[in-house]
Amino acid sequence: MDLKDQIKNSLQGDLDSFNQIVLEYQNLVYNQAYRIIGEPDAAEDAVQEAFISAYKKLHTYRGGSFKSWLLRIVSNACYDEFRRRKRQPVTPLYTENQNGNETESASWLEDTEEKPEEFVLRNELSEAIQTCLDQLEFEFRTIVVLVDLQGMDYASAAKVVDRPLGTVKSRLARARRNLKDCLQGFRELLPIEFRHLGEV
Amino acid sequence: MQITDRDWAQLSAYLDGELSGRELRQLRKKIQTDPLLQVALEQLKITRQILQATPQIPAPRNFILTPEMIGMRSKKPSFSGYRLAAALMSFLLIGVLILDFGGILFSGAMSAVSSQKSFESQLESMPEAAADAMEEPVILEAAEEISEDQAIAEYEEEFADVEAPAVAAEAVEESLAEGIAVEEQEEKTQDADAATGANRAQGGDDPQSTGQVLPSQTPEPPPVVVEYYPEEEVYGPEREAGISILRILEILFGLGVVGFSTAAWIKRRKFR
Repeated sequence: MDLKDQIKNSLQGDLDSFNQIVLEYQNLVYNQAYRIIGEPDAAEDAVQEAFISAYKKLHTYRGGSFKSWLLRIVSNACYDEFRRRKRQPVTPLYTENQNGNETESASWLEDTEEKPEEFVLRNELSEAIQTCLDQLEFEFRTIVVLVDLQGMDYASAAKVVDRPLGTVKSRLARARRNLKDCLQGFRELLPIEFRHLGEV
Repeated sequence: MQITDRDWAQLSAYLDGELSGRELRQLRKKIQTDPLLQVALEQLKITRQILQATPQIPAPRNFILTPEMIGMRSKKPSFSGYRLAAALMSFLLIGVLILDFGGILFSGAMSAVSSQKSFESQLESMPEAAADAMEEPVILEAAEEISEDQAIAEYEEEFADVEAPAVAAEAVEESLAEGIAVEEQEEKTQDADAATGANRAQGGDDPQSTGQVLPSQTPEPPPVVVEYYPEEEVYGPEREAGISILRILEILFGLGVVGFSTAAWIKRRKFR
């Protein structure tokens, strides 16, 4: 059964068909949510909300890229979750990485900009990237995740974040520039061919 | 030379192949001549590659939806149906009430207007006679030489066919009477002069001469037509006795409003 049929059946109330779509897209959606929010639990909540919302709003899908349509819902869910967490900040007593393993120390409470070496030593590349992403503003982060991590073009990203193409272009450039500066602190984690990332 | 924000944006878009032909040519030229831009481009390229190489994190669990999830979140109690029905009934009730009470006022107003209009139209229907009647004294004054019998005959002819309402008839009668009175006065003066002359000539007195002429001068008044206005026109149609259809509808819609509102309230309360 292809995506079109799955959507059609889902619209008729067939939850199993929709769950097939969920299984197909959940990795993509979770990655998007995790990279935007930066917290596994919050990302899970956002993903679940996003799928429920997608099921309810499936009738608003008018063809075109289903991925873009879904990622737009995910971005909105992430933004809601992000705002909710900002209003009621949750500080866990222990921290865990994206695999659910507890980290050994409480270094995550420290300012990573002041002591990047200690942080870098305990984390993998993806966590370093996540740290850099977390330093970006929400919309900059969303755009860079959409374009660089999800591989979307500018037009699709503009649709997802509901911004003009020019805005996406300038914000992406700024986000990349900030990430470049941030990643300089994690040079040891980078693959050898990337270690000559210098300053301009 | 420093790299501007615009340069960064151009370099970033260049990497993604999002520049137009002209922009692309310009930027390529610029990069060739500016070593700083070359370094910046290289760094952006690496950053982009790092981001693109970011490992995908597998979803920690399945996010499949259960009927409970959808049911709990999507199925809200449907008060809206009852509410909508109650609102609809209210509108209908208001409509019927307006129709009912508005109808009474309208019929009353219409009857008043129609009676007024009919009166005015009746007045307008006889301008010829009234105008003639008003002008007649002038004519009579002007045509002093016309004989009395001729004038009376004209009046009789004119008013023989006129069927005017009482008011107009009175107006005509008055104007006619005035005309005749003027005429009579003139006649009297003439007769008196003639009689004086004759008496003087004959040496006698003929007081009956004036009296003989007057009765024949008085024209017969035009037939007075009394207009009959049906009572319905004046007071509006008589209201039907008993319960009308509008009353039944009012009751039905009223009951509907109460019923649906109560049902919505009960359902909402049960849900809570």
